[in-house]
Amino acid sequence: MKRVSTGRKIFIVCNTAFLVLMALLCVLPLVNLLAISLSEKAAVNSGIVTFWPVNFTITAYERTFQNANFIRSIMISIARTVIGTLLSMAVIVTAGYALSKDFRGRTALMWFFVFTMLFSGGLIPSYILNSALGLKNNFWVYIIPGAFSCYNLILIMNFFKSIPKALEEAALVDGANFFQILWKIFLPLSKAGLATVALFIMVGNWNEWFTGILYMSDTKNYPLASFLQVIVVQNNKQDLALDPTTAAAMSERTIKAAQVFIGAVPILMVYPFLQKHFAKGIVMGAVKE
Amino acid sequence: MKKRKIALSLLLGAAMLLSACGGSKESGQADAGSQEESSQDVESSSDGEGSTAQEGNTEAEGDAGADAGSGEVLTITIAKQLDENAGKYDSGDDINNNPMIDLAIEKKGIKMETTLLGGDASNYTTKLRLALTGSEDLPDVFPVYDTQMIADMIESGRAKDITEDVEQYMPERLREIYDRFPETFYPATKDGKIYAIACAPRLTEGEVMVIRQDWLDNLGLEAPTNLDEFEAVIKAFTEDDPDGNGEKDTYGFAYAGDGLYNTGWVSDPVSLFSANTGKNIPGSWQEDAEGNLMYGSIHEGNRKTLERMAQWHANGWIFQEAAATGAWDAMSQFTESKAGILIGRPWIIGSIKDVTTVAPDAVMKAYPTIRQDNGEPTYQSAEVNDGWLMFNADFEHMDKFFEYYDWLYDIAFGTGEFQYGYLENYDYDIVNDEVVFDCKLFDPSLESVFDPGKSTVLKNTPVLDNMAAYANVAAGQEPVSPAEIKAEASFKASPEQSEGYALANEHRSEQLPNLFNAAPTATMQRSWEQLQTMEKQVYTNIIYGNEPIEAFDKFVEDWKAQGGDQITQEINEWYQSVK
Amino acid sequence: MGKTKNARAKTMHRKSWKQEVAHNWPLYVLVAPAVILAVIFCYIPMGGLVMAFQNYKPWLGISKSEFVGWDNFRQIFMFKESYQAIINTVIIAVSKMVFGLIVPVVMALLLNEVRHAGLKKGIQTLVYLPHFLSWVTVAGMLRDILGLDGIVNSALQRLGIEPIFFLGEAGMFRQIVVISDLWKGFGFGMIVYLAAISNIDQNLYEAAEMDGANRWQQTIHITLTGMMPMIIVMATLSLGNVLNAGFDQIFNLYSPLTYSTGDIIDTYVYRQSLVNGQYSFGTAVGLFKSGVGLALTAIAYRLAYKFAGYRIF
Repeated sequence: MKRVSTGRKIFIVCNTAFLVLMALLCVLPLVNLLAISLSEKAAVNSGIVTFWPVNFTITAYERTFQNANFIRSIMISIARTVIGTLLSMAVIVTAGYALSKDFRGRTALMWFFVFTMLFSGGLIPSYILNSALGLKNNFWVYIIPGAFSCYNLILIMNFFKSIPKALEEAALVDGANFFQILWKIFLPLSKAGLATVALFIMVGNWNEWFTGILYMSDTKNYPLASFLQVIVVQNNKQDLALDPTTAAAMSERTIKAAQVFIGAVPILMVYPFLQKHFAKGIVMGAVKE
Repeated sequence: MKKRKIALSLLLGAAMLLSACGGSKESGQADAGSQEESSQDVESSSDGEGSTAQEGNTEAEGDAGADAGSGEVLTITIAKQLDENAGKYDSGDDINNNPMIDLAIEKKGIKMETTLLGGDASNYTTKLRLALTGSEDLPDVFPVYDTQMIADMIESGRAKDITEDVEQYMPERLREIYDRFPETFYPATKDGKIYAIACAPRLTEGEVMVIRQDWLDNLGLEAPTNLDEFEAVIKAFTEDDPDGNGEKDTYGFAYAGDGLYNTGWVSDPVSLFSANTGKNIPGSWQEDAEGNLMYGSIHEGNRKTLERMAQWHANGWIFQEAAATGAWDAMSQFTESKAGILIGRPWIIGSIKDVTTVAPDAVMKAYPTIRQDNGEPTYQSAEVNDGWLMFNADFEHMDKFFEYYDWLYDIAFGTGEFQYGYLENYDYDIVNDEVVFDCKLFDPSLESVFDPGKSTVLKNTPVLDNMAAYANVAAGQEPVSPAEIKAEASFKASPEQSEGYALANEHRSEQLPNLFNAAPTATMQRSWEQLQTMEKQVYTNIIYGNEPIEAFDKFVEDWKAQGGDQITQEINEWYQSVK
Repeated sequence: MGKTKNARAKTMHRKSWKQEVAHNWPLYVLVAPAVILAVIFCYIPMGGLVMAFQNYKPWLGISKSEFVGWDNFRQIFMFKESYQAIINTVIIAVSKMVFGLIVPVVMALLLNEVRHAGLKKGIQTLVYLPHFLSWVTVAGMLRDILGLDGIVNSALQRLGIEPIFFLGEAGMFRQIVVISDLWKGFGFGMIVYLAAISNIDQNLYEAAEMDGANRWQQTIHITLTGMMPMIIVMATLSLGNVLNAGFDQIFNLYSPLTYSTGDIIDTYVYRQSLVNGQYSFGTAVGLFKSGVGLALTAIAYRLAYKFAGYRIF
């Protein structure tokens, strides 16, 4: 056991207290939202709900779950998140590995990719292209056009770059080829990096709603995010002006609050599992011996 | 060097691809390129059944006919903006397969099929724009919600000239309705030809002033009828503790100040301005004394109202956070029992009734908006239609469309088979020999239900005159039309709100449609947003005391100099051409 | 990392393309899928940027629309409102960039000092939560919290300070925007740095301890230094967004009272295009922003390479 100085003890206490405070600051608004989603509409409208539900009810969740398309949209979301993440990771990991090496044309290639991060042709050309490729009303529109992301590529590449060269050189001496090195050394050693990027991609896929609304002409093919986006119309004069019944539906802040949780829960369930990869650089020391 | 060449050829390729896509449609439908066919193939293989979105494929032939199981069914493709109905279909039903679609097939032999679906208002507009590029199929019938899009559709040549069709096929009873709203044709007309008709035009219910009657009574006050009285009431509501709880937690008037001072629907402060400007209300183009159109926000009368509101604001008599609150959100000030006056369409009474959770004794009552000092009424914006219907240039069944449209109108006229609504158990139910419209009162009771009237291309059930129906019932007439039967039911369920409708009817002449309703003029395209930004800033900053009242005079000068005069001139040229 | 310069020196004597491909072909194969995807889904649609120089009409397509040269770009700078919007954009975006860089790093370092595994994971998850909220929702919350009856004002009132209408104060708008953005986003950035920390070789700490380095010194010389490459990368990546101040956020928070400090290029363009669906103007503004982003990214890349010998990409 190491000796812990008094100053260190004070630091640990203050630090922990501070971080817990920050965590509370992040979570309290969500507690409020949760309370709203579980409260009765009237109580919410009159602004008396704080951190505890008033007249507890799960109507807001029922209303959302009841919908025939709800389960279907969850399945679509799961499918696109799983397939999309796997494909993206495959593309990015292979490219990231290659680009973490030095080879001719690498810098040019890198700028070629960075360019895609900065410039975009906008909605119309993309739509024309994707339609021409037959991606309209096609599940793969969720997967393929967004599979490559320069941002994530650069992150992965930098995680790879931080792996000691010595390891790779040793493997090369042993006669391993590039693919084996990637599989046996780089992937296991960058678990934290992979988990991070995978998480980003997953969250991105799960929450992305615009593609569904734009490319699907049947709501049956919407993923959960698109489904939640349209189930309660926006506060838009055009939608509301003529019709009181729409206005009644609008006041359902409770449903909107419920949506936030329905949308976020699956990803939050995944995150703790990914966190185990954030343990401190376990393997590295061992391999280096 | 080599790399650069590659990049360049890529760009060229891209440009060529894009132009190919843009051009193929434009060069005529005869050679609907191979590209289209291939995308059609993909669609069929992914759906299992072919989409009939292609132009000219509207006849009952091929797989569409097989779908309906009878050779007689005509498929008309439509565009639709998705609304909250998305959540309400019966299990297994969807936008193209529901009781209302079935009813039209059964009764009229017409299958309405949505092939272009917009998620919300802006997404719908985006999709129509994409349809203009040719990468999205333009359906046979499509609603359009802004005048620029109408102009673009006409210019692109993809919208049908329906002048003769209207002449030939529009049923007489519909023609009478349209004759009542000639201004709805202004944006739809170019070179004497008609390209669009308004979606089920009718004068939408006007705004009323909703007041906390219990507060008035507590303080022994009367509802205000002019600006001075209004001032007295909001002062008392703020300073004399109308709810009697001993705390200074109330104020007079809730409104929205995050945009123009004319919201047109709820939380509207416009009547306060109209009290000094008459018909020239802010944000609207109305005729001046010479019969020329002028923009209401620059009318000198606004200065007086602004001066007053600045004072009220400083005194805390009006909503202190109005500048950062939208029209819908401002209503919660009333619901939370903080504000005592709110102006908006009569249905707001239903939307703010939850105030009774905070203040169980709350009583709401609808009053007419205040009058001008000379006794003349104050005015507000009128809305006569929610969008226009346009037609694909290749659509050949206008006769059938009008037949269908007229059939939908049966419900408004109370003719044909629709006595109470389109479909029993959906938009109405008969419980114990009594017709009910609230799905919670259905047998069995339902939390929410598919609304056939909202599922059609019109977005709303057509009515002839909603306000008048309420007024007739209020006057003791025997209800005949579905609208009147509905109004009668409403009087039982929520009398205050229904009285509001009847009241709005009495004041219907105070509703003014914006007389400029065409696509933005050339100067507007360049400068309008900047002028609007200036207007919103100046008005709000004056009320908040950040700028002196003289800022209004400078605003009027700047407005005119920075394009406003030019725009006024252009708009008047347009006005002369359509009047 | 720091050794890249040596590694580069080794490969300096250039092989011919033939030799290069013979030796490194697997690398080209591995990068190929990404290249193909980027060409198809990023580069081909970039042809649409031509619209920025046209008066684009959708039904005419790019090939037939009229070319107008720099007109659309000129329009960006035509009004005093747009200058104000550009200034606001830069101030807000740069503040977000700076704080968005520092805060997650500091938080990651602090969290790294927490030894209790459960607590650490718990905090890590909780601070990530706000990321899932849309700006519409967050703006609604801010309105409640910062409102005249909100908790901040009731706290101020207890201190004897008059209530402040925060969202209506032009002088406070930028601060509110930057702080709320930090609140929403720092958990996300922190994850990257925690991952970077976990990649640091544990032997270094042991060695440092034997040399008598205290915790503070270890944190600075090992942890922070180990994170440095990632910090530089994140900083550079954020430069591309120098003119993206956050449309969704500001659109949901601003009002006529705060236009003067809060109106940014994107909100301005949005309002502008409500008047008429201006494809070309929107594209021109986008291109302008991208150009500035590219210039700054290139400069940062050069500087990092020249002074630190570090290649970011």
